[in-house]
Amino acid sequence: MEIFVRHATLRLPSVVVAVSIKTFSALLIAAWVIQAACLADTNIPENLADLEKIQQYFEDRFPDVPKHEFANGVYALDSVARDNWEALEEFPPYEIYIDSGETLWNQHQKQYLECFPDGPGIKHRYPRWDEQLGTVITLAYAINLCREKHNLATYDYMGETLNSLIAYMAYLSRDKIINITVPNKQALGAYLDGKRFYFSRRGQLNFACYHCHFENAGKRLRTETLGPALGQTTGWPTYRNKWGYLGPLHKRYIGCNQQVRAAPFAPQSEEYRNLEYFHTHMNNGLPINGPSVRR
Amino acid sequence: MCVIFRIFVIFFIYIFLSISHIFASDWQTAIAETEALITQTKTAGGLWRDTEKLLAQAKEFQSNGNQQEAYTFLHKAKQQAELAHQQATKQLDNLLIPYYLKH
Repeated sequence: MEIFVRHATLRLPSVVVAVSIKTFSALLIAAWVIQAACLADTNIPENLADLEKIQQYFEDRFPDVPKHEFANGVYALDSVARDNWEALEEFPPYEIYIDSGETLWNQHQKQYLECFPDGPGIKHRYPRWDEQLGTVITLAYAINLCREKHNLATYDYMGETLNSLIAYMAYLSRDKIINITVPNKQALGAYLDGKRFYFSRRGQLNFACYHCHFENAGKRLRTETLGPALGQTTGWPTYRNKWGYLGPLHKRYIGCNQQVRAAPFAPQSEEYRNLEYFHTHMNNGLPINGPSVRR
Repeated sequence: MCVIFRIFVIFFIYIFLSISHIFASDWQTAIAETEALITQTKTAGGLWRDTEKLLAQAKEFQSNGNQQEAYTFLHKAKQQAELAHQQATKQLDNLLIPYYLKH
């Protein structure tokens, strides 16, 4: 400052110089803060903007359906199918799976509680991003990781045992609100991979998931009504009458892929876990209502 | 006369072996090309459901000596692999998000 003052043609008192530098610095900081605030406005995380757009799309598309009703899938739209479903729910076919799931939980309760301290009713928190593993963890995947950690044999992802255990956990999570978070850039990458999968055309029929479950939701495909994407992940595992047993969401993904004549991926593959992450995130705010029964 | 007949027989055997060798090497090349394309498409995550089945059927026909059917199925498998690869590449380069979800 001294040098500046010494060589300045107009010699200003040092107090004036100090004040003007302080003012200039303050202005600079204020400009930076305002710019950051403006950027924050325009850079809303993509997942939050998606969530808003997707839920708004279905609310506009089906204005008579209350938001929480979307958790019932196609039964929110098709009144005849709903009557059948409500009749089935009086003696639900998934009940025995919940009972055997409870037995399975109690068998290794100590180990499970170490992995899931708030368990067993934690279905609404999955899938989630795992910082340590750097990947998306679904509940099925987390259970097998837990079993591995405790030197227990892992379960078959498509098998009855694992799905019974998840059915029990889902049953105790009923009415808990789905709240999937995308905590960091890596997680956002996985979310965007899932989104890319959802909107990519695939298979010989050249269909993307959204062709059926966004634009054609509520319309008929042969004898079935196409379900809306919103609410599709709330009720898993599901007893499908077509299968005749309780199965996981990834089995349905495999079925959907095969129906458009695309080669399916393995259950709990990274592709399907990322897809489930995106697919469940869009249901934030809806309650868990699994296990469920579907046609 | 007998010598001329023998020469003819040897000549025909030679021709037959040459042609079958050409067919065999053509077959191997076509199979290798299709398999490479299938691997590429699989890596891009866009393989179709029936492509590998068609290739397996082609190989089965070939091993049973039914050349015509073998080539028909191999052609179908190759065509599917090419189209699936095109589709997967296009989706990677130019994904279309519907207008009502753009922000």
